[in-house]
Amino acid sequence: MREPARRSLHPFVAAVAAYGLPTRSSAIRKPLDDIAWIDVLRVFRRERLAALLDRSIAEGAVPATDRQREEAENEAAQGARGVLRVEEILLDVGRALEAERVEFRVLKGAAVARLDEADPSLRQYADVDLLVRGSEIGRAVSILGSLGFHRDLPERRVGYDHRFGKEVSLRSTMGLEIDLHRTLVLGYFGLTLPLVELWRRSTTFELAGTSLAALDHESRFVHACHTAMLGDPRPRLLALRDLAVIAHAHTLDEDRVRELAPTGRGAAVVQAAVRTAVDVLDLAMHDTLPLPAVSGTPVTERLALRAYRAQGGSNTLELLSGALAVRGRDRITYLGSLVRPSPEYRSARRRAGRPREWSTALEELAAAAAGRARRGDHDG
Amino acid sequence: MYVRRADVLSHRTSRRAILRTRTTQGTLELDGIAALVWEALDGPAAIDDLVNDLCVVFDAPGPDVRAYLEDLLDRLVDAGVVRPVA
Repeated sequence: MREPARRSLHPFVAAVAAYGLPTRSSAIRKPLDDIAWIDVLRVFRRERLAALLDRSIAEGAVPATDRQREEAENEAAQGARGVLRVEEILLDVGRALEAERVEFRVLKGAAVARLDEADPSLRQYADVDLLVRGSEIGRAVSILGSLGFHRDLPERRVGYDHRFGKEVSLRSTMGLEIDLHRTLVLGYFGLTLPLVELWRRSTTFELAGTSLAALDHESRFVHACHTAMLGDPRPRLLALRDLAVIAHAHTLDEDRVRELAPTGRGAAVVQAAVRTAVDVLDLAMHDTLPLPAVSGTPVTERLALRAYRAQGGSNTLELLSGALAVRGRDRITYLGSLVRPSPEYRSARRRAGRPREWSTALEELAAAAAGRARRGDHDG
Repeated sequence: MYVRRADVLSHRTSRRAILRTRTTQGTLELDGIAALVWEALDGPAAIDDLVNDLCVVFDAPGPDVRAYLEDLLDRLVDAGVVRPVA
């Protein structure tokens, strides 16, 4: 499994991303020059780490000039205003789903901020992510429709969302986004995730006097590992920090982690995520991060891993990897949904300016293969 | 005694507290001493205690601090983010 090398990360960025966590890094003594500052500020904005930057500077964890200090604070304030709007939506949505007795769990940013970070203001996020049971997805979509949130694309094929889908994305006219997840990731790892286990335990947090349900600590940890290693072409610092912060804030039950990410169905993902977080953020957390023993990763899991973008695959390959997780007629139905989605779905994609799935996938595959060949040349 | 209203959403940066009230759906930003006072109101706080703390921190005369605090707390109550408690 390909993991990013730490050498590509600026030590200043690593120090801020690991703020409040035990690290092995030595202190940074001098503020960045103007050019380096512009570069790292762009990274913090993109990675939604501006609040950590502001706090790290204010607490003296990293040095900064007066102008840099002010710019960091302005970035953090802008991020905070966005978070407040999202939190307001979360409260409205939670109330509406609860009134209709649709059970849900708050995922990612909002949950990690309130349950794992030392101060919720440190974790910024831009959308609402909720886990809903597959059988309730349709009802949840129509409830949120009454709040002004509508699907960005129609269902790929009738029945796809509740049987195979990762999530349904909804948007408001104000540009706010809600992701209703049936499972945590796309493709093989989403389809093999033990959803019954995921729902079996939960915890709650308070937001403006309202109690909201979230996944238990171990499930949030496994989710952060999946997001880090399977979600983006390169592991996002935010996801790596999330998994470290969760493990730092709680004593995780390793048996429970194994139940949620068993061998062949995510154990290798958790192991890679932990190693990557330790390496990239230079963490001194070997005793607190659960590292599942992975000996002899099954062929199916190894094959599936290659399909994910972080491993050089593509979105379409990620979807195709799901075929390894379903059996018999389900596999035919699943592949049919991928290859021949409904005409409504295809025309909505065209109207939205989305790329054609299969021709784009072929281009991505060719690019990935060329990249692999180049790496092979260099390695050789 | 004063305390934050439970239904107020808030986040803080190194310099300010940014609040959003559910009732008015408006954003209120506090900086400087006002941001410190907001932090202190995460549990019920008596105005005398707040005055004493601020006098020590800022080495300022009590009557001035009290006048500032009374005005600030009135404005926070009017904005719907703080409430008086018995």
